[in-house]
Amino acid sequence: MTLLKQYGKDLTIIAAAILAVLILFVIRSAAYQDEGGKKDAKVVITTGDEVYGTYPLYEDRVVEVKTPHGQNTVTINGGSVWVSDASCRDEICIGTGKIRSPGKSIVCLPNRVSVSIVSESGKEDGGYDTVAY
Amino acid sequence: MIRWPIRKRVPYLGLLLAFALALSYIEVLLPIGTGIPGVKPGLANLAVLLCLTLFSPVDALLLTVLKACLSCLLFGNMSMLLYSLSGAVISCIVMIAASRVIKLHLPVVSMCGGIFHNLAQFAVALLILHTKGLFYYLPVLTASGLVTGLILGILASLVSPKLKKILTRGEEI
Repeated sequence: MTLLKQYGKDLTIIAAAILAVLILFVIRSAAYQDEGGKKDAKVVITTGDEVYGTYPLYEDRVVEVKTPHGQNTVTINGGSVWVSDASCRDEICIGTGKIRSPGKSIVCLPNRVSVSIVSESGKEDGGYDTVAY
Repeated sequence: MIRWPIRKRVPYLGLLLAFALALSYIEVLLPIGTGIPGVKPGLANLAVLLCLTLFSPVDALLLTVLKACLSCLLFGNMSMLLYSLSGAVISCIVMIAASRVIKLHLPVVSMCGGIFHNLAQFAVALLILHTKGLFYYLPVLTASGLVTGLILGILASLVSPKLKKILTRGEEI
């Protein structure tokens, strides 16, 4: 009992601090769960000035994009998008590789096709590139 | 707490300041960092804790301000001063309140200091950067302040009685 009397206040403060930290962690995980914003991200394919098609990022599919200038095969798989085949000369669109975050895009200039990921929540940026302080 | 006239305290305060700066230097040298910005052991707080238990709160506050300014001049840049000064002063004030007003034991005093050091730095970062994403770090910062503060506090509570005995050898407290 004397031990409790001697250290009671300290133990209360420690318990309160640990509880506060735990609550903060819970709040954070709750706040950042729906913050993901990526679940509703969409893949927008445009040819020239027209929107060719809009597809959910998290539904796997292969889209054949046919334009008067040529043909591109856009593959959406596991949350990332890439151009798997193209009829253009330089194949820069294939070389761009996979994109997975909102705001990123793949462009095929010869075929005038562009593939970009757009987040539904209106946020173009997929987070910070870097923070300096 | 040792009640000495200021002329007798000054050399020991100087030693504590040197100790604090040496610890800051060790902290810069050792890669104890966890990769998370802002999470570091805060070894220099050991000197402030010892000062708080050995001498008066005013001495501890003075030591804190000098330590923050000098360690920024020596190991960092002046833009860091705002962060380190705010964190150090707030944590020192909290520790003074915890040890003298609420009369907690040293490990818990240090834990409170650690938490409030990080909270103050978080507040300053929020004021300067205006980024909502910082809130992601808040739980990590508080947790790290808690753990490092507790460990340093236990260390200080082991050292300070011996130090007090050495300092007051042969005289009435």
